[in-house]
Amino acid sequence: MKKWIWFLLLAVSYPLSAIGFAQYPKALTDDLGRKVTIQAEPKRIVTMLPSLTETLCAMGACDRLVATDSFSDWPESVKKLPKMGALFDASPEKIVALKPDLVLISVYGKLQEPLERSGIPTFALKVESYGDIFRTTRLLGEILNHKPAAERLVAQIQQQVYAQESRAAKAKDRPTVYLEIDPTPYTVGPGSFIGVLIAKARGQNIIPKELGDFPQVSPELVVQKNPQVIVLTHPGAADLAKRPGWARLRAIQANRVCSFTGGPDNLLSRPGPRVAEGLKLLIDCLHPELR
Amino acid sequence: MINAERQPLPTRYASRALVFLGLVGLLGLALVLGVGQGAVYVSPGAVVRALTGAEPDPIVSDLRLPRVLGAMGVGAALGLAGAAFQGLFRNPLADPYLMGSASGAAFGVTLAVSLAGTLGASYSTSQIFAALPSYVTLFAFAGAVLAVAVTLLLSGGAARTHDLILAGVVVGAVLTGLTTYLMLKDADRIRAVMAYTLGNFSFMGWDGVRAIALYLALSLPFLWILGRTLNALSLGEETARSLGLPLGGLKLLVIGLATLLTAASVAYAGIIGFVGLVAPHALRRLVGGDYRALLPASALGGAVLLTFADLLARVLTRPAELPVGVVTTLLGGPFFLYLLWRGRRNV
Amino acid sequence: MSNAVGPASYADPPFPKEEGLGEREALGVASLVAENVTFAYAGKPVLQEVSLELRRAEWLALLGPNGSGKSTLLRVMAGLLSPQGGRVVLEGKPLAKVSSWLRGRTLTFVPQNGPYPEELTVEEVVRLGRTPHLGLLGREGRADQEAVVWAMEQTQVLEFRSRLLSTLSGGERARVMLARSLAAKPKYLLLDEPTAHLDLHHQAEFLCLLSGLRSQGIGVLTVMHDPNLALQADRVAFLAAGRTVAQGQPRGAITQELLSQVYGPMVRVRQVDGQPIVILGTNSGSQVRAPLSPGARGSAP
Repeated sequence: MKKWIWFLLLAVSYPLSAIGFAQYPKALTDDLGRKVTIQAEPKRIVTMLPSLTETLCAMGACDRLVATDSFSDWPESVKKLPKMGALFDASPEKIVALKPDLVLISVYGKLQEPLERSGIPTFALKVESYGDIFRTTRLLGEILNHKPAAERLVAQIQQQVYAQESRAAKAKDRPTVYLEIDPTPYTVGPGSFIGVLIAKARGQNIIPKELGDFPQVSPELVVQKNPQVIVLTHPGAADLAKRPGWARLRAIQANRVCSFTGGPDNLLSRPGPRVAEGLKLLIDCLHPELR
Repeated sequence: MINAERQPLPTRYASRALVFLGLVGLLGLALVLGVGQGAVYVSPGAVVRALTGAEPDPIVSDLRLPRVLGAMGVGAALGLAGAAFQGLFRNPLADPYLMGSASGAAFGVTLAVSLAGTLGASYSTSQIFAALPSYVTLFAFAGAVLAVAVTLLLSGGAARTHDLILAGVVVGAVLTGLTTYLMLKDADRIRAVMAYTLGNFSFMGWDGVRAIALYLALSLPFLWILGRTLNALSLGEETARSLGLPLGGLKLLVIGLATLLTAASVAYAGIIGFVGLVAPHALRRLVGGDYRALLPASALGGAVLLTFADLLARVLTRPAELPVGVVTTLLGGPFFLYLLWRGRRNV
Repeated sequence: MSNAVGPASYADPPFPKEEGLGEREALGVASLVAENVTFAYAGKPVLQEVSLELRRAEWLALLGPNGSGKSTLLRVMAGLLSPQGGRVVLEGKPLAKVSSWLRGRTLTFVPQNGPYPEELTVEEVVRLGRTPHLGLLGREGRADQEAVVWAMEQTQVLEFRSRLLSTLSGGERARVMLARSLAAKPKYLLLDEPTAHLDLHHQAEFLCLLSGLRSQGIGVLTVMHDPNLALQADRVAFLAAGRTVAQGQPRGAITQELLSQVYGPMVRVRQVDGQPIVILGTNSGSQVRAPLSPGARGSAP
């Protein structure tokens, strides 16, 4: 009986929301598959992933943040916000004490349980692939009821990425690349966020797709594939040549090892609004002649 | 009076020689398979050409060969340490984890990584595997010795075996907790250290092989000499002392050597469980309880076991890898449970 | 006790010359002596000023109720426990000053229930008895092999020398442990309850063995529970509450008064075939418990 009223409201709300009218409560499905109802426009937000912090701020909602996780460090203004810990050492108590009206969490930390018990609404997001960048940006637009800003940000990121891609298109070759995120050694598959960036930067990832997104590989594989370029997102560049059999790799012989640490590595490891900057770093590394 | 003429040697000595021959054969097989198989395919002909130097292949000569030899060395060290601990404590379930020595060594390594991470920016965890600086081994040994010392202190000396094992378990648990704390504190490196604690031969190089070989060469003769002491200890502490053995010092020496072997293994390959338990235990059945036979047999057995485990770790999910510690735990865990079950049934 | 081994076999060579204490004058006092030994576990006195002498070529049986300190005294005399008061003297030399290897060669000790090395063969166990002769580095030679065979012959374990200990019965294990202690060719043999696991046949064999060892010049000290077996000993000593209450020839020392005092009124001494035997009586409420006056003690040497 009341159904038609809801229908009407919904019909009206769509154009309204496009211009930023509040449409709460709002039911959304988060990346844990939970139905989450946002009761009112969130004004006190805690982000527990650096990429979410960056996306939120890039959308112009930085002023709504009351705290972030310990790794969030961009933009500059979030550095002075209280830090709530990270995936393994997050402090629900500190978060509850801040009385946020929404906590954006990772799907992995299980933070939703203690926070929901304390009556703090949480929304879990999985930000891993290249496509996740745009999906989460739009989701955050929904949550904040700020779709135009989200769409603007998506368009802006895509444009920046496209600009870098066209720059890379001028490259004369497609070097083979081994990208190491951790010295044990963990690397990235072509399907992962960084894997997509490698392809966009006109590089060929030596890791086959079947190994998954973040496989631990045998050093034998790297020696066999003999990459032309090695990219590290950890500070171990000096040790590469000391690894058994690695001194003869083409990348090391030609000194084509790029090591991104202490800041720039974040551009490559965070699927967020600064992805084009990360792409630029990769292109500069793979194709020094384009610099 | 009666038959004073020499009896022929009992049959078990003949079978002992057979067991040793078999172990050496298995070790040879493990070497061939270990060098021939791996994450990537190298044809047998190419392997032979690489080994003879006719056509160098870095995968064979720089990666696989040191890796296989390193696994052999670490396996031998763990088997030897396990046999020594089992003899010392007259406990068939003893292994280098007992007395917290492995946990202590792991804590030492983690601490070294953690300290280096904050003290020197140039340092990176890859050094654990790539070019292991000697001070990491030193830290591992210091950690292991500290763990053993605390264990001995808590148990009031090595005289009371049960107190010793209990104290060792407690010290091991506390040190594992501290290691985890350091790892969490150092979140950037968490995966590196985590993977390390699971055991890894990925970057075993010739330096590692040389170091392990050195530690083995240092310990094996001493431990073999102490074999008679371990035999005497199987008669009980009191009887061993009545035989004139200066037990206090000898026991400390055994503990020291076994701890050194454990620490070197942990420093070069991470924590690899159950090799030190399974190898001596299985070989005790085959060569008997004479430690002068059991110690070398356990070293050979540990080498065979770990080389095959590492081979499995490399080929099961190739070209990705499993941590070798996962493989040994999956193989050794059920064995341990079987021992417990059998022990309970006998009681 | 039939096969009395004559003095001829006394010259048999369990003791090569070099195995003495080295000191000629030390050999003059051929005994292992506890002098006023006091020992306490964690403040609880176990032995109080106990004196006991074990001479070579004698069998001394140490009797006493549970907890009287017999086993502790045995361990003190074996050099395994250091007394808090008094001392143990081995052939004129304080035992604490004797090197552990020499001690191991001179006196051997067999506990009542040792852990048994299940995976060792009989021969491997007996060979361990040669440890004090070999030290840490020594290699086994012909003399060692002969001593091992001799020890296995004496204890009749030679025929199963290649069997694992895990396959032996309790009595067989006890004999293997005895063989292990004999393999060192000791001068003094300290045995804790050596007959506990033996059946009657092997008890008889054991007594034969002891008499043979005695006649070869070995002093044997046994801690026992069975006074009837102790009656066969050369001398007995009674320990009660950490003190020696009697010492002397078995027939003089094992008296009704003493046994009543030490074990209670239900223990009786009877004469059978001119030999005293000790039996348990249950119907003797009338038995007098005469307190033992100092004068009533057995003639201490």
